[in-house]
Amino acid sequence: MEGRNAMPELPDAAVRSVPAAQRRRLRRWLAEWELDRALRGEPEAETCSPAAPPLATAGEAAPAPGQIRLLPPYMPGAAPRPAYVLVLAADGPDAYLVAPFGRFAEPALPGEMLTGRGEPCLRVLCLWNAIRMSRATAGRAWLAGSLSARQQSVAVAAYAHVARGAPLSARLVARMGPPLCHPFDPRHAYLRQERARFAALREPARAVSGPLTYPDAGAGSELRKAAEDRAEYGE
Amino acid sequence: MDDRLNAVAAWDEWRRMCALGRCRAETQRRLQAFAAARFHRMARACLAARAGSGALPLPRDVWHLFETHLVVRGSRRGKRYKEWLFARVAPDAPRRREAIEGGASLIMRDVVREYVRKELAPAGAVSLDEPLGGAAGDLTLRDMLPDAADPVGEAARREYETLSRAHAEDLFGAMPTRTRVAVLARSLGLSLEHAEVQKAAGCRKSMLHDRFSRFLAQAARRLRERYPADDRQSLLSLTLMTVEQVKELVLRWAESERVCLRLLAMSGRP
Repeated sequence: MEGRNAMPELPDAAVRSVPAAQRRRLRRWLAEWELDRALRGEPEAETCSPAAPPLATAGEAAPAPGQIRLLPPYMPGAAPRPAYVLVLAADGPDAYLVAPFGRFAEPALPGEMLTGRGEPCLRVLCLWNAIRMSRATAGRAWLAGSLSARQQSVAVAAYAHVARGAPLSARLVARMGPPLCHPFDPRHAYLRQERARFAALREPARAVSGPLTYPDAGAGSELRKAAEDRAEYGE
Repeated sequence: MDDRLNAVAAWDEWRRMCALGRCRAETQRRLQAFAAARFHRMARACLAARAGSGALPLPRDVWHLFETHLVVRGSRRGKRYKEWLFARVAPDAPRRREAIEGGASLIMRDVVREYVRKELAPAGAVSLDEPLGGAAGDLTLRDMLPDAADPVGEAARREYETLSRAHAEDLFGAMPTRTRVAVLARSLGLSLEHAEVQKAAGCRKSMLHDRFSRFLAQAARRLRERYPADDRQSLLSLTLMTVEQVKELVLRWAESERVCLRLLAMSGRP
């Protein structure tokens, strides 16, 4: 590996500039992360023996796309703090694609998006951490509200962008978090924590998995418009 | 025992009445005092961590922050977080008060973080080249979000990967154990100031910080010397990929090192 050469040796590469806004966003996210770490030393909730599932969630409405649901504390990952999730879409007859909302005010990664909602528990949607959840599990979570049709369309389009690289308007891409480049970036620890938190709720994929179906995905639909730059979305 | 029963009764009354403002004066006083005590203790911990100061809200305002933090607006079912709080324990369980107040404390951590973020944020901008401290250690914003280069095409990407693997093996082979422990801790998201990290390395935090900084600087310098004619962005990309590879080598090494097993377990690794 030794030796010198007056000519460039490394293969061609295209320079990728990082917008100043993304650096500011990362700075703000890191400040929140530090506060989170400072509070982690505070006494935990020592006692938690959650009530039996039927008592906690009897009589809930059936899950449907666009619903915001709150996971009961007896579900894995939902005991340390209330976890709100968005039902993104049906995934076959007996499961849903579900994405958790984050706890910070800023999106940490390109897979997280500002929703435009003002509530602290609904500001950021963690699309990278979306899981396939069984109908039974989703049905045991409490129905807490729903996104508007427009917000839901944006969330679904953003998920398609994150999961499959589908086109998305520059306006919506600007609502995503900054890229993760450095191997010692503290966001790696955050990713590990959050992934582990919801992993136990993940329903295995079906043996023969069909494409996700979205309502109203025809030409001129809200979903289609989310890929276009000129459309007005969010609040 | 009476106090315990009264506390549970206060929480139950709040649950029934929807908002604390509609509860009896005694219930209001009790729950506001609980919330204020938790909030002020946590807020002081936050301010100590960032060496800041600021005025904290009154008990009545603390309760309002707590009660509204998890509400979903525009929904008749927007206060389902109360279900979460009370479902933490069966109604007839013996330690009901502890379970409810433990859950309230967990919610309060997020309330405090949000308050400090909004109301007590440090003034002034941060330089791109200033070490961020905390979990980021000596890294700067420019380190974490560099204007880097993306290899053009699959062949170029593969060549970068091959080069980074070779350089990583060179670097890893020359790394003293303490440097490896420092890199391991940072890879696992552990602070170099953690007692277990210092114990595993057999040295103090100042030396660990020094070893870690030196490792990053050495990796960058070696590659700069090896490729003097290449542009800064290409070198930066290669350096990041090389450090990523070193991290993988260190993780593999740690799995067979007895002193590192505790660190792996702390970070949730098998």
